Amino acid sequence: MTKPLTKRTAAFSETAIDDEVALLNLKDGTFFSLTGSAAAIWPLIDGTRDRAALLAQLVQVYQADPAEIAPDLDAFLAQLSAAGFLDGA
Amino acid sequence: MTGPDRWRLRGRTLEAMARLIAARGVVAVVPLERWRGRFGLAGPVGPAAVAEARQLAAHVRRGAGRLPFTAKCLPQALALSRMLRRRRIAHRLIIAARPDAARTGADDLHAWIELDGTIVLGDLPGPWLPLFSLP
Repeated sequence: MTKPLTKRTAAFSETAIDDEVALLNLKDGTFFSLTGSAAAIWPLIDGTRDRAALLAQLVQVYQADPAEIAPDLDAFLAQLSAAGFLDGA
Repeated sequence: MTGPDRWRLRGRTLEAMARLIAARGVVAVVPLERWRGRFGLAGPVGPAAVAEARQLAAHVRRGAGRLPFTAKCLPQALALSRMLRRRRIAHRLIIAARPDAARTGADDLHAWIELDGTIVLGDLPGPWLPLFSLP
């Protein structure tokens, strides 16, 4: 297992409502709205899973082919990392 | 209204205009992490403070209407926050977003100033999802 993914909680302010997670980047004020699969992935980034474990969890939840999910997961993690919200990505 | 009163009120509007110009510059070029510690003020809030804050908010709105550019909610909130801090009036600056289901693509982020839960500037119809508050 590679290093687990963890959130840099000091980098953002987070609020959840209904099926949405809203994030405000505390560095530059950028607003992020996570819905759908992004909102489902977000709570799974809890410091216990690396990218492979995340993918395995999503495959189990969505009953989908890993090859279908992996590109979207990687793109999402790259976005979070670019925003400065992730460690371990 | 006496002459000195009139000049005092004009002075407050001028102060609000100066704060609005500065706030617009802050919003445009300074990252949030650099300015967030300079706005909002913790402390007890009394009825007199709310009344004073409402008056100052009216000056901010009046000043915003006299500027040659549009000062939207965040510059207005920053301007009022600085005026309140100068007078040691405790308040919170809230930044919020419309929930996804209510989002229109325009003005989906909003900022307001409140004292002990009473909104004195930026009281727009919601729903709003508070993202961040100072302090």
